[in-house]
Amino acid sequence: MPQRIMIVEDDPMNAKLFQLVLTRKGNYAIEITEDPAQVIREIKEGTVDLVIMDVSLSNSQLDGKPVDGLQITRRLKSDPATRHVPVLLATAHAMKGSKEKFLKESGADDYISKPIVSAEELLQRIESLISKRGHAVPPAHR
Amino acid sequence: MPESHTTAGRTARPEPASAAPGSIPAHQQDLGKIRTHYVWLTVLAAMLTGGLVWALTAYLCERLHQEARVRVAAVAATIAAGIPGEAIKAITHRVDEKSPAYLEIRSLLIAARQANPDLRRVFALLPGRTSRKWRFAIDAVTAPGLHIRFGDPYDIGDRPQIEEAKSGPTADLTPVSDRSGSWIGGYAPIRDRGGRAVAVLAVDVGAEAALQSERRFRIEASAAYLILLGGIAFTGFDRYQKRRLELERNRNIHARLSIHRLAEVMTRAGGEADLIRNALDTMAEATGFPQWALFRRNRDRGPLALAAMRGFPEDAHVDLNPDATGPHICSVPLLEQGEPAGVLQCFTAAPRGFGANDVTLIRWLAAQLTQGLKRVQLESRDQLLASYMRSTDEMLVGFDLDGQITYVNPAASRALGDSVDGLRGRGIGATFRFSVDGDPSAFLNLLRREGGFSGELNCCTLEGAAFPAEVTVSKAIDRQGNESAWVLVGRDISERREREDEIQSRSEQLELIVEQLQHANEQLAEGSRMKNEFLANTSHELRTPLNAVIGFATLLEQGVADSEQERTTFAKSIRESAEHLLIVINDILDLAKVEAGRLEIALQAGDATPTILAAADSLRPIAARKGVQLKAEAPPEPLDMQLDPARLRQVLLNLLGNAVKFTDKGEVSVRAWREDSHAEIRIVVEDTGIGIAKGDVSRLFVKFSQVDGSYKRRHQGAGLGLVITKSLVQRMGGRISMESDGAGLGTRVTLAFPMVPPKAEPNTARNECLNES
Repeated sequence: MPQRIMIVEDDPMNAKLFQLVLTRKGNYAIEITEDPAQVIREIKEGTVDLVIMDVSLSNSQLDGKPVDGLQITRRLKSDPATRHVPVLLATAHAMKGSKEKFLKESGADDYISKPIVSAEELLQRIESLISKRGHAVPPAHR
Repeated sequence: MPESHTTAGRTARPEPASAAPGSIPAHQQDLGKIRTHYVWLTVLAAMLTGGLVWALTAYLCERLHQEARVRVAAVAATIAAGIPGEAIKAITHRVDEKSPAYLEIRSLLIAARQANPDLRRVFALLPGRTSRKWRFAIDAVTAPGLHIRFGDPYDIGDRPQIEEAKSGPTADLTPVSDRSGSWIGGYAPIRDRGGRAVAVLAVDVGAEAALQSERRFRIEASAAYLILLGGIAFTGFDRYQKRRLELERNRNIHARLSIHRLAEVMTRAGGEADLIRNALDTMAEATGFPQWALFRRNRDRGPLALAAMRGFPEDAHVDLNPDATGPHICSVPLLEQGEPAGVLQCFTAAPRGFGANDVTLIRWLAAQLTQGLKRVQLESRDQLLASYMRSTDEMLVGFDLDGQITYVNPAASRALGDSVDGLRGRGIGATFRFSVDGDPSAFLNLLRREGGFSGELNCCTLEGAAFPAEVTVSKAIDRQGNESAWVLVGRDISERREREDEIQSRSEQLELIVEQLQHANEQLAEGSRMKNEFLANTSHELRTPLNAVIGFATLLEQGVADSEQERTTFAKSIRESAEHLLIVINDILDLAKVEAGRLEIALQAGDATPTILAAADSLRPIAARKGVQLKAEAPPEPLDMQLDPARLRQVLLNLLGNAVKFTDKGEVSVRAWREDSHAEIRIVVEDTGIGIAKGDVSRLFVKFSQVDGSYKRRHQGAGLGLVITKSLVQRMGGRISMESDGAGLGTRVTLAFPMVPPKAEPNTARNECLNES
């Protein structure tokens, strides 16, 4: 059974691109969403092995308030029920210092800047994050 | 305190150089000396009288003795005359005592003795060859043991009268006393027929009576003398007393005069030093004590220090001590309000020190001096106060309890009107008011109610002008402690007000400048922040489509596509992303031009209607894909304005593009018309979309703005469109405004351009034509 990656991305073209790369060049199951609640729910269900998180989100809302990818990640990382799933920030915000700032602010596990020039690097990072974490088993099921 | 006594004694002893003994006035003479004088006079009188009485007594006694002598001599002569001298001559030997001559004579002698009871012893003496060697001849005493025999030697001693008796009767000068009594010896010659003295008859006549009378006389004389002495002593004492009383009266008169002078000195003295010097002089004169010292406190609660001395040499001040006591020092504290403020010391050289009267007088003088000093202090304070009130710039106004002005100082009369008399009697309420046209009784009522006032008021001058003043009013208390009046102290604060106003306005200006600077600073900071944000956003907006471009290009390159159709989809994605990229880049370039002021605009007069309709047409398909209706309305008459058709199209595409982008249902419309009342062409783009929160409307026209600091992307695009649009509209002479009733309630953007007046014939004709139709 392929490992399952959840992609939070507002730009449909980029979302489609992620899906193509990760399914064709890697062996992952992909779920694309803009809804943070869905992410949280599925992680709690134990069906997610990794989250690729965009930072700028135009349509995402959590508890009725617009949120960005950093806020969603922070929420995931602050909840013991969701924090075990690695989060990879993938964003076009790639100014100097952005990476450190985002990782610190959100508690995400890794960061990759867009445009992603090397699909191999993306896959390698994903694999590394997932293997570090082991299988996606929520704490409640252990 | 023996030590201080000694010190004071030493300092008190030296006679002052100024007081020469000869020049001491009568009233200042020492009473002791006068007393001594009278004692000596009395003693002298007593002695003189005593001498006189003694001499008189002696004389009288001598007379008595002389009489006695005469009498005794006469007794002796009488007896001697009866004794025959020849019979004495016949007796030559002791054995002749039995001879008839001896017996005859003896019987004569015995008879004479018996005849005169005063006679105590009768005997005859025979002169010897030398005057010293007299012998007994016949003794009338026959009793054995007492009888002296013929021929026994007889020592005549120092009684020349016995020798003298050979030539005539004599007697002892004074009575002689022995165990058997007192007597006087009488002597007379016993002569023979030839008249030659052959023997001397001696008789001892008892003198007890005479002596007794003499003694009585002497006692009487003594008694008389004692009486005299008493009289003398009384007289002396009486004289002394009279003298003393006179002296004291003089002294009292003088003291009283001096006291008056002291009072005069006290009232006349120019200053403290003058007063003290004159007072000490006058006190010395009043009391007769030349040496004085005055100690005072230099300041409150300071130590007592020598303030003045009189009658001492220059260097005596080192020895003077305010605590010194002793019989020669009279030390009186000077009290001010019950507190010892000084010490007055008086010194005397008199051995007995000060009398009670002296002390009383000195105390009184000290009290006078205290009063005088207090008066001088008060006077100097009064003078200070008066000169302050005269010269101060503060207005001083006194008014009675009814509010009538009773006093104004020069400053107040200058400020309130030139006439002091004009102000006197003027009501305080007419002069000082809370407001210029306010109730004149308000101020006085407030004073009565509050008991005082401190604050700002309006001063109304006699001339009817007014100025602001800062005043303090307090109650004036008179000597009896009653509240008798009010005292107002005030100053004109018009200048201060002006200054304050000036300062106020300057500080407001400064505040404004600071505010502007802060604003500019904030704008700078905001600009810098927004620039950074813009860079970040721009970078993001460029990278996002690039990601798709690179990603799909890579997929194509690596042959990931599993069908020809998919390859076409990939290539289409690349193209669309690249186009988006181009739009972003163009926006950025336009903005750079706006920023640099180099946005090219070629204005020409023309009708805006075709441009509006064309812009609507070009976006209608996109709107249709979203299910949104896009309407365009334009009037039949031309919308003449200065325009660059390409730029106007850009503006409308941007506005309509936004409207479509943010509207998911409902409609988007663009309407244009001539607003003749404002001579404007109005174009309104309206949608029924998500709208804008009220506070965010203005931010949308600011370049690079982002509604909050987060990375939420509400809509895609660099957010530059409205900034560029606004700039373009302004360059075409128009203005742009955006309204929204709030989030979710749609947005309305209004453009207004100045209408170009109809020019030349064709336009006019067309207008007329249109108007007709």
